[in-house]
Amino acid sequence: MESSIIIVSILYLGLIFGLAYAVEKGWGKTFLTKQSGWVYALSLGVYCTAWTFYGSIGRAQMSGIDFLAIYLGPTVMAPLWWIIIRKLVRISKKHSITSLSDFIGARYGKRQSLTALVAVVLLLGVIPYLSLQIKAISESLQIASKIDVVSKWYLDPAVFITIIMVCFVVFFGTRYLETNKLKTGIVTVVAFESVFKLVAFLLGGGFIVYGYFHGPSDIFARSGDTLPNFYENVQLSDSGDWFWLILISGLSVFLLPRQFQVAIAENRQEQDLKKAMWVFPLYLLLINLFVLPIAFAGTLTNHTGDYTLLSFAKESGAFWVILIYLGGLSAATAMLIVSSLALGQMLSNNLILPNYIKKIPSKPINVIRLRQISIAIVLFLAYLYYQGLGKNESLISIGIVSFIAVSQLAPAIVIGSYWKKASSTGVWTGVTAGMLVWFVTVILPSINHNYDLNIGTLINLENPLQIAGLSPTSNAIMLSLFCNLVCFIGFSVHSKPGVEESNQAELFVDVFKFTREYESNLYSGSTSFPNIQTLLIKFLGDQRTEEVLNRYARINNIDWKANPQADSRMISYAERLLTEAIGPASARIMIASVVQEEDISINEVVNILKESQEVISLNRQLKQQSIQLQALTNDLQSANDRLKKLSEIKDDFLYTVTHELRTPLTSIRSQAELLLDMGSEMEPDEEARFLQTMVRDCERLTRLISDVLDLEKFESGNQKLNVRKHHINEVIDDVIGSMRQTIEGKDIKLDVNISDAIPATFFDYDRLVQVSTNLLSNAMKFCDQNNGHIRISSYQVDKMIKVNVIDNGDGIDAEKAVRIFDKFYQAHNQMRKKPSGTGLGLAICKNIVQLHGGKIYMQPEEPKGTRFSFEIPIYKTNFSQHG
Amino acid sequence: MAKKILIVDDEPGILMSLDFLFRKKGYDVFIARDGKEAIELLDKHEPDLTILDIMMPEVDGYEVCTYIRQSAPIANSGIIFLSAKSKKSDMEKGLELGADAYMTKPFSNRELLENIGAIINEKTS
Repeated sequence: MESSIIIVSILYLGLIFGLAYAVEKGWGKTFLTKQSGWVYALSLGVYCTAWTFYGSIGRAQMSGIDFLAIYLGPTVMAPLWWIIIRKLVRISKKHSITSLSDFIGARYGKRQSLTALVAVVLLLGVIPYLSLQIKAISESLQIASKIDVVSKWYLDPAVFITIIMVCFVVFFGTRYLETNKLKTGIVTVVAFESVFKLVAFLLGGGFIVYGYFHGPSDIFARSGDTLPNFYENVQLSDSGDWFWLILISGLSVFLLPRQFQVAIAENRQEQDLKKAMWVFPLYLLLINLFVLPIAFAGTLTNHTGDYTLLSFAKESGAFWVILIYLGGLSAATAMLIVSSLALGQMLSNNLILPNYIKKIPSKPINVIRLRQISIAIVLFLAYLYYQGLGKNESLISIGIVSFIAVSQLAPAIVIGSYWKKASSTGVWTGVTAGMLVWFVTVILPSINHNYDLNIGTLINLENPLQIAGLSPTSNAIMLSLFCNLVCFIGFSVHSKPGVEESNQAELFVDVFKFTREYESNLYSGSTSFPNIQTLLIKFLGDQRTEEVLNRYARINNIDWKANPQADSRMISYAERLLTEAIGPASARIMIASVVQEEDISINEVVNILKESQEVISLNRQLKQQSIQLQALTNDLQSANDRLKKLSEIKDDFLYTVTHELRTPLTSIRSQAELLLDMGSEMEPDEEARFLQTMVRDCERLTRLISDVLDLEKFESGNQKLNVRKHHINEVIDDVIGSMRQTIEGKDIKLDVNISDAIPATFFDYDRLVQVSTNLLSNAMKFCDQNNGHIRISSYQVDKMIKVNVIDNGDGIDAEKAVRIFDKFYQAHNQMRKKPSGTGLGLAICKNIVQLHGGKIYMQPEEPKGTRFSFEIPIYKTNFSQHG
Repeated sequence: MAKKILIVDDEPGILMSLDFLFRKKGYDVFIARDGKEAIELLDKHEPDLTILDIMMPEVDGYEVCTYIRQSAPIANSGIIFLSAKSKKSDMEKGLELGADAYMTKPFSNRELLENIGAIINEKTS
């Protein structure tokens, strides 16, 4: 039996490790996101620990239905969650808060001392509670395996359980530096364990109630003679206890560190609360359903005490033992996991880190490692407490000790979230007073009397603060909360909080009013960028710091090198980053250490917030319109510029065209006049010369006009290509054929190198003849006058056909190379000797090639000369027909 | 003694007809195809009148005009711009530089001769 229980334990722990790991790796992500309401509601079930699983039955046997009080509290409070918890969630998410101590610290001016106080209160109040779980595991294991192993500490399974818990929490709880990153793996495991322990309890309970007996009525009928005793118990128990227990359990459901962790820090969306508000009370109802029947059944069959359920199971076979044992294990581990995570974070961020910073201010700090060590310390302390103090206590009483302790934080958190005047002085005095009363009324008696807390409620022992007529429980709760409240309110009313504190009060209390993301430019201070960088590197490390700063710079369009000043927004951003890692109070101190700050008054804050509230929407509209107007204006401006430019181009073109037309016209007119006036005085050959010149000039005019029209057609998009499938080499042969005589006549050497591998493609044959002719005649014009050499080549490059025409002339400057394809470029360029063309040839070539989807360009050729090239794509189909 | 006229233009057709026209009217005619050649001929022949195109490679008509007005022997000789540039600003620039007349192409032979005659008369009287 022993070994099988241990094997089962290991298998179970392996299962939750595997589950957490799988979830962290993204397994079931869609499902978990979609069902986040259920996961959230079930994770709240961490409220039900081994105390619930084992302890409720023992307590019911002893004092009747008292046990129900701590489940009624959360149920009664549930309708208020939408108001209270939603506000706490909203505040926490907005301020990157993930723990109770940080919440209080941030609310009351980000005070280090306050967070330390809260952390101490919680550690004192909750560590015994953790040790209770270790104890439950250890005892249940002993009962299940029938072996007493506690005689040697190293044989105690509690040691191994503690170590395994440390590993689990360290592994899944400190994966990220930012504490506000959701720990999906852990939350899913907790939700799973909630289901597991509920199912185990219901099955076990059902088996007892319906297996051993014939249902609850049978049990109650048989225990008829004990019932009066039961009623007596209920009556005996101070009815005032009910009120106080309901109150503190209603508060504990979100004030216990583990509850704050799952309910607030790990909340995915506020809407999930709506589901939790009915699922969680229902869960509490179900898990208590069989408590009374089992308790009575146990009394009838002599199974009593905290492990009634387990001793029933032992009579029923290995399956039931394992089921109940694992149910208890799941309840205990869930609590250990979440509590140690929450407390470990407080221990590191609120107690160790601040002192560490003070002692070694210059060294970089591995915040994650510190957090891991802290978690181990918390669990180790819990283990020590279990070894020393807690062994003899009943499961349920330590729970109430914890409840009363954490309730001392309720005024600071709940009232502080609604009352702006609540001050840090009030919290200090209130919490201190409440904890003193707690110590005197709860802890002192238990120490004095050999920690005999076995009767379930607090023992009825004399303590100096006992008020006659009250039960010890009522007395402790009422007195501690009363003193706490009196001090809290009294000192708050009479204190004058500092600027930062008032600002934070404003932000917390009115969190819903200022729904929009206020760009916390609530800082008015500045520092240099390297200061901030150094600070961030210290806590976030080099890589992460570079990452976040680059992102910030990119989003806000900032160049640190050009402007090394960090403005208030940058400082706020850095503080938020640090808050995520080390909590608001420590972050505040670190920021204050590098920032020269001017306080900004509460009025300014209110104004900033009011402004953002009232003016933001108006501003946004105005901004929107202004942006639209600006865009329109820009559009108009550029359209106008385009028009102007077009008009200029057109004027320029017209002027140039008329000028180009005038030249031949002048010549023709002058000669015509001569022939008219002096024809009789001319020799016949002179007359013929004049007529010839006139004809040549007329031809020139015609050419010019047709070029201008041609170009106009191309530029207006009216020119259509006559596209058919041809070989480019035919074009080149054709052009060379028609010009060969002229070339030979000028004694120009011609090399032709055309590739036969070029496939046929679609193009306008005549137009490419025009382009090639133009390039060849240009080459003839500009090549070396004495040793003219022209090379023509064609080949395929990727999906383009390329044709080169290379001359060996003087070449063209690179700066002119681009403009040479402009129309009338040569006409504008007066430094050139006037060539005989129209100045439009290359412009037309460019249009033709572009219309084919190709490009034309020129490059200087080494050692001298110019290379003109054009490329056209190889088309498989007739591209011109498709528009 | 026959008056000397220098024609500066890069358009062969125009050179041809003006050369013929001026010879028939009894002038001594010199022909330059660009600004550089014009300046050589100006120094060599010191013409009484120069017909100047504006748009020429390297040395343009305006520069030739300025050169004439600054060279002592011919500073007072006649200058007629004969240009296809028809903008008012071009014309004003030419006259400011000291030209005696600015005619746009295409021109009438008769008007040109009249202008030449008037300018030469004015200069010699």
